Order: sequence, then C-alpha cells, then structure tokens
Amino acid sequence: MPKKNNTKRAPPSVPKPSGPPPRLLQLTSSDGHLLQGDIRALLLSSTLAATIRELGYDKEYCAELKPVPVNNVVGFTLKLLIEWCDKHKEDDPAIALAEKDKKNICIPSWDRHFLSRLPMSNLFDLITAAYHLDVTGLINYGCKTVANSAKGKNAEEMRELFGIPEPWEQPSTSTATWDD
Amino acid sequence: MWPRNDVHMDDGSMTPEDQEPVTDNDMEYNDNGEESSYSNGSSSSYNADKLSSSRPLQHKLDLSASPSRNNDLNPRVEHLIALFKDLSSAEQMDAFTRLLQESNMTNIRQLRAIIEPHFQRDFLSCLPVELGMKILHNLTGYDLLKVAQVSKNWKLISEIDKIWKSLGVEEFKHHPDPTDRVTGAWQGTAIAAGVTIPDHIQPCDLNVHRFLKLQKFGDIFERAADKSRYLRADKIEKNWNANPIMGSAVLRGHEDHVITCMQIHDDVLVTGSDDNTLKVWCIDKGEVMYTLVGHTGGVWTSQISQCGRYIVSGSTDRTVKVWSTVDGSLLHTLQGHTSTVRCMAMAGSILVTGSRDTTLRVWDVESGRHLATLHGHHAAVRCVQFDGTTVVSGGYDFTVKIWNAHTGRCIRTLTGHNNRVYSLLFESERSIVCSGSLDTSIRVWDFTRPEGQECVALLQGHTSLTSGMQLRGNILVSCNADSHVRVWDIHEGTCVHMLSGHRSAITSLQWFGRNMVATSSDDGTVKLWDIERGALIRDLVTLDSGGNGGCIWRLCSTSTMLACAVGSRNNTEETKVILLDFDAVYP
Repeated sequence: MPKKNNTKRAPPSVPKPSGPPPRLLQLTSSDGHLLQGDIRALLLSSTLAATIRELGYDKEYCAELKPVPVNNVVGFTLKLLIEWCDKHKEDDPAIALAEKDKKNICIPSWDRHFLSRLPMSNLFDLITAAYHLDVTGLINYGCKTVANSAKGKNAEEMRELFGIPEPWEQPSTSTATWDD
Repeated sequence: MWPRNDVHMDDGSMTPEDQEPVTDNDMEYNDNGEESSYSNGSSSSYNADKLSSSRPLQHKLDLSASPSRNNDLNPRVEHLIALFKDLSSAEQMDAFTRLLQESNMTNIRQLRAIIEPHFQRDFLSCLPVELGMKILHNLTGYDLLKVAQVSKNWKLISEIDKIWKSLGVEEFKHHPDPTDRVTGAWQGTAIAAGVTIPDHIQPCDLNVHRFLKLQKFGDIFERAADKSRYLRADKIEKNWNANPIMGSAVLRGHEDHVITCMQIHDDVLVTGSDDNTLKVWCIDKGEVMYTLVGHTGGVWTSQISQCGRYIVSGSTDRTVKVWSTVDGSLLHTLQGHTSTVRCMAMAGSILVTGSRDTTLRVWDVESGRHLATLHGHHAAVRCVQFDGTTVVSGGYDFTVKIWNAHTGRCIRTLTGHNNRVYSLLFESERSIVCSGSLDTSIRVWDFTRPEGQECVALLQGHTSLTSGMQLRGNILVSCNADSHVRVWDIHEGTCVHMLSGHRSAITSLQWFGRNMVATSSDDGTVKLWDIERGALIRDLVTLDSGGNGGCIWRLCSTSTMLACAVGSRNNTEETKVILLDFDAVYP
C-alpha cells in the first residue's frame, strides 16, 4: 500500500509584512505565569481566537490589550504552545483541517524535531493543551508523533515506553480478560 | 505533633489548585499500591511532577541508607526524615541537590529507576478519550492488537469500532460470512491414495476443528465487531500461507472425461466437461445439486452471470445453452454458430460467444434473442472479453479485434502477433488489452492510441503459449505452457519475477489476496506463490501420478476456498474436483 503523498505546504500567498511590528497579547497561565505571543499566532487556537475577536483585540486600532487568562494550561506548556503557534502563524488553516481525519499525514521536519525533543510527559501536556485550546494542527502532529513511537512495539515495550505497570500490578489482575 | 502542624501550615499557604496534587503525592508515598492508580488515572501538571518526584527520593533514601532495611533500628535516618519534613519545598529541593552531590553513582542509578516512571505517561488513560482515539487512529491493525494487550483500559479504548473501521479497506478484505463445509464431501478429506496435500491437518485433530467451526461469531465479534473482522481476515491469510489446511473434500463426477471449464459464483461451483454435461455443485454442503443434460457435444466453455441466476455453456454441438441456477432447468438454446462455440464473456445479461466458425455473436440470455453477429476474423475465435459495450476478441488469425457490441462494427484490429492468440485481458477503464500468444510473447495494447501505434509493451521471456493472465494496476501475472509463472511491470515492460517450480505446462492461474497466486499444472500439482517476493509459498496439492499422466486441468478460488479439477488423459487418475478450505470463524 503506497503511502499517500500530502501536497507540499503552499507558500504564503502574500509577502511577509515588513512594516508593522507584531501586536503582542499577554496570556496568564493557570499557575500565574504571564506570557505573551503574537496575536496572529494565537489565532491558530480556535478558543483563543473566539476570545480575541470578542474582545476586539484583533482590530488594529485597539490599543489597550489586557492579559487573557488561560485557566487550564500551566506556564511551561503554554510557552511551548505559543512557540509552536508562532512558527505556524503563516500556515493556511485549511491544511490543518484537511489533515484532521487523515491517517498517514507527514509531519514537517521542524515539527518532527520540535515534538521529538520533548520528554513524553511534556508532549502529553502539550497535546492536552492543544486539545483544550483547539489548535488543530498541533493536535494532528502531536497525536501522530505519539503513534509513531508506539508503532511496531509489542505490549511489553509499550508498557515500558508509556510507564504502565505490569499486568499483575494493575487492578483487575486477571490478564486473561484482555490477552486475545 | 508540633512538626506536623508546621507541615500543615505550609500546605495552607499554597493555592487551591496546587493543594490537590500534594494530596496525591501523600497518598502515593504512604501506599505503593496506589502508584499504579496515580499513573493510570490522574493528569498532573509539569510542576506537580517535580513535586511528586520528591517523595520516592525520600523513600529510596530510607532504603539505601539502612543496610538492614529496618528503619526502626536506625535512629539517624529517622532523625534525618523528621528534619526533612520540617523543610519548605524550596529547602527540600536544595537538600536534594546537595544530597545527590554526596551520593555515589550506584545510589543515583537507583534513584533514576524510581524517578523515571513519573515522567512517562499512559496516554490512553491521561488524555481525553478523543485524543486517545486520534492517536490509535494512526496505527495499523497489527499495532492495535498489541495495544489491546497492554492494559485493560488500553484494551477498552483500542476496541472502539470507529478506530477499526478507519483502517484501510485492504485490511478487512470483506470476506463473506463463515461457512459450514463439514457435510457431504467435506465429511471425508481429499487425502487419498495417490493424492498428497502437504500440511493437511491430522485426522484426529479434524473433529476438534469441526466442532470449533460451529461457533461462527465469538466473544470478540459481540464486543468489537470490526476488530473481529480484522482478526478473521488475518487468520484466513495465515490459513493460506502457513497454517495447516483444516478441511478438504472430493467432488466426484464426469467420470473418465475431461473437465474443460470451471467457475464459482458465491457458493455455486459449475464444472463443464467433454461428457456433454455440466454439473452444479453446492460448495458448502459438498454435494452436487444438478446435472445439466442437453448438449449433444462436449462442453468447452461456460459462464455464470454476474447476478448468479444463469449458467451459460458453449459446446461442440454449435449451440449455446442458458440454464437456471435455481432449479437447473434449460431456459434457452441459442442457435446460429456453425461450428464449435469456443469462448464466451458476459456483462449483465448480454453474452458474447466466440466460435471456430470465425464469428462472434451477441445474445440476450434473458430473452434468448440474438442481437448481433461480428464478422471479421479469418480463423477460429479463441478468446473474448466484454465490458457491456466493447468486445475484445483474439483468434487463430493472429489478430486481436475491438468491436462495438451494439453496432457489430469492428473498431480496431491489433496486429503484431506472429502466431495464434490464446488468452486475453481487457481493462476498459484504461482501454488496456493484454494478449498472450503461441508466438511466446505477451503484448499490451492501448487501443485509444493512433492506429498502428497501439502496442505499448512487448513482454518477452516465456517460451510457449500463455494460458492465463491477471492484471492489477501495472502488475501482470502470466502462466505459460513453458512451466513458468512470470510477474511483469507493464508500464516498464519488464519481467519482475520468474517463478520456477512446476515441471510442465501450467493450466490455470488465480490471483487473490494482496500478493498470492495459485497455479495448476499438467505436472499434477497446485502451487501457491508470493508474487511480491517472487517465491513459492507451498504446494497445496500433489498427485502421485503427476509425470505419468495425472494432471490438474483447471483451478479457481474464492477468498476462502480453492477448487481444482483433477484427472488424466490416460486413465491414471480418476476425474474429480478437489476442494480445500481456508476459512475461519469470527473470533
């Protein structure tokens, strides 16, 4: 079964704006950290985009930007998410939506490097944060990265990789119920 | 009691969100059994992970500091623990850092073993179910089976039907429901004097297998139907490739005559013979249903309609007969050919027949009406293909002709072969025709190209006539009287594999599954090949009389069953059909 080839990412349709500096919005994480990100990058999050538009912060003339609370993401993870969004702020949103239900998406090399250097714990936190803030592209690549690490492994190796206790240490200790 | 109050006051200074993880940590420290529920059930923040790692450190220090592992006997360790509990979180971290600097590498390695699991995460338990499903969505069926063995929770999520449904169609194969195949001829086996079926199950194990076959829909099917379908498809493929053959049967009929043609439609097997009759068999029950009597000459070609309601036969008596599969009755006798009817093809209820009289005729089998006669070949028509609109025919005049079935006009004549054309393939979506000839070559044509330029590939390598071909994509598999099977790339015009093993002419070929091809031969064997690796998988049937006249004339199969017509031209082997069962139940 040949792998489907995804279309290469289209270059931005408009040249990069050189004039205006990026407009920064501050976010408050659940543990009280104050972080800031380019509003254009933060719009990749559907949740934040709704808030930003409702407050009118996406308008150029809106000068006073108050920090927006993000109640379910801690600062360390939020910083990673902002970094990812900043990298992808020029992307066509249709690409992430098109890849949402695909099975064999290709992870771009920057994303592969960014996600693979994270410890598993941080990767899961990042995926959960992307889920809460509805960042489709990051969910796509994060889930694919986890799946890639599980591919080809037997049950024992998966337990070791994901920190799952041995069957006899688990509740409902009868292994016969699930070893088909 | 005073030190405890201090600890409590420290907790009180934290925010409500931070307080709960600390509680989890306390529980974890007090009872090791709770660790599993922690890692399985709770999702903690990055900072909480750092906090949680402090408790096992303390626990391990107790163990490592006391050679006898009896804390009560070491008041210095108890004193140290008491002091440690008095420290603030920041002070504890400072103490840890300095303690690590004072520890030897052996102790540090032991600490690592305690700490590391806290940085691993059970993604199917920690993440929202939608994300877990999305991760599993990227895995293959094989990986999903491993996921189900990891833990009970993983098993539950891995069996969500939506995940299995999203696997590629290729993996499920859409087999028909499990079959019986224990009655009639199946009660015995095909193993007999003179017939060897390597890898056949031992007779003493056969009864156990037959009992297990009765449970057609097992526990997994009730719980996770699509996983069960996947497992069954995987089992069927293993049954073909490697597992013992779990059932076989002999259908006896057409005694002392040649079986000239054989077709399968669902559970119906039709054999035609030069004894002037056709027999209609029920495969699952292992018995003959009807004998179709009426031809006054040998039957040389037959077809079953796509709807399964009609059997059509062509004979040396020059007639074409249309029979009902419902009751075996003769519906129509189609007259018009002036010599042997040698080949036929059907699309819907329209039939095209080719004859030694050099013509092809078009019929409606429902009404029995003759629709058109196609004149143009200068010698016998030997093979024909039909898609409902376009007829492709090959003949002993060395040509391949393209016709419009409705107007009866010859659209194109493809020339290039130097000898009789014996086999044809037609793929109308791509306007591709493949023709095999006694001139030893196979030609690939695209008849939408300008006249005279239709030949797009000339496949050479065989040394005799090509008796059968199958095409999928750009891969063509051919079998030949030279005893070889060849795998070609028609786009490149090259031979990818040559499969040797048969010792005389190959009579039939069947490609099923992803890369499995079965072939039958005059040498009395049926062989199964892997055309991706270009290797023999195994022999399925071997006649002792092979090499002395015993041969296998025809072979056909469904995805779970193989039928081969056995006999000889010198009475060394009785005429019969051997069936092999490769089916499996839904686990």
